[in-house]
Amino acid sequence: MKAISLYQQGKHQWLCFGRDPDKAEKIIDTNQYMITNNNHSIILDPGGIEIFSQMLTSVLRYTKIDDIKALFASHQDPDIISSLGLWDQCLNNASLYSPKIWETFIRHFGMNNINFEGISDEGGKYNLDGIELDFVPAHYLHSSGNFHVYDKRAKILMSGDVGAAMDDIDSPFFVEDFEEHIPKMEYFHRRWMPSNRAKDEWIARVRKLDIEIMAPQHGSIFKGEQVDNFLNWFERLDVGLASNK
Amino acid sequence: MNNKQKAAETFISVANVASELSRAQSIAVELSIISKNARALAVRAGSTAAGFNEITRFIEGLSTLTIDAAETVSGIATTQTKSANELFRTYSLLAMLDTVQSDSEAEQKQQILPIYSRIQANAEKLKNQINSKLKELIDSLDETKLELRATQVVSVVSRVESVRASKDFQESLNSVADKVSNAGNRINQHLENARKSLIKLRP
Repeated sequence: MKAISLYQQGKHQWLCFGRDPDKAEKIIDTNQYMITNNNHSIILDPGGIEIFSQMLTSVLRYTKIDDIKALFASHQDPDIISSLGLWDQCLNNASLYSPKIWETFIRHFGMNNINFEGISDEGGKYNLDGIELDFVPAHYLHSSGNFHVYDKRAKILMSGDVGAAMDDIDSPFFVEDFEEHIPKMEYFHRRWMPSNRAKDEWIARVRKLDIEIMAPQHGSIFKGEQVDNFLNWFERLDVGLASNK
Repeated sequence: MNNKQKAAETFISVANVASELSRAQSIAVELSIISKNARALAVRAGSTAAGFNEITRFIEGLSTLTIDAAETVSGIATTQTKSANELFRTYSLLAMLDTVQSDSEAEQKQQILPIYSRIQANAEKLKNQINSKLKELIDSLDETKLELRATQVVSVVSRVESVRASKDFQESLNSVADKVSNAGNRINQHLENARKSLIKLRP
């Protein structure tokens, strides 16, 4: 599994793990993120069972196991958090931050040791040893209980499935040509995102944030002007379309 | 067969045991109904079938015994299924940690080591727990099977008693004997199936 640093200022660092060459062919490629500050780490959308060993190997290159104090699951999907039962046996005194409404569902992945911290619909905050992270509501994008993570200091928004692209395993970590990137995103957003109203509310919310990097859970990451390109494109996109013919 | 496959086989086999026991329990309920019907029949047959009345109490006892045993064994089997499932997951995790170990540098390996030891100890504990309960399950099944041999005796005695009853009731009383014998055989078959599933798991 490859890893890149998205941001580093002193002991405050954002890492992205993905483009796993050992991943089984029929499993969707996912980006996992870890934010560390001093001796405190949180893993965002730690991924599915199938990539657990690669993920654990990768994160331990950057943090100590006992420094992983929290996991964050943007929603309940298996590619997001089905590895929970495995992390549960490896971590000591860790908490899982996830939409409150998904608690009883997520527990099906196995959680005996990790403490569940449900995020209520309006959102919440997480203190990463002095760095404040915001859990930004993104309900119905695509899950009915869904959050993104915003780091004001790093100016990074981890945007879950928003901005996701179905791309090749060797695709670049960053979006290079937005127009070329559109076909990789369009069907996913039209089909997976169920509500134009939810989409518009999210765009309005996110436009108020100072974002340098928008980091989705699948595909390339948006940086600089590509963030605005994405928001403008998403604003124009009609979502919630499925053909049943 | 590796540890993970063994754990998988354990939870599948123990789930089968629970299913066989549930079927045995349904037949035991049938046996209870047969007993109640037989008692009503014995009352109608009057003094010539007085002995039969006593037998029905015994049939009822066998039914209760089977239902209770099935409940107990089912309870153990359900716990066993959970433990075996947990063991399966634990072995899966150990296999993944093996990969992490082989792909890691010395410093990361040091971090994994205590987790590995803890999880391995947990796997060992679960395995021992499963094996000891396995023995308990087999013993319970053997005991129930032994007690159920009485159904055949009951059946024979019922036939003897039916001969003493008046002719109008003989056919019905014989039919009770058949039903008891049949129910006993069917319960025994399910217990035997359950036992076979467990025997192959013995270490």
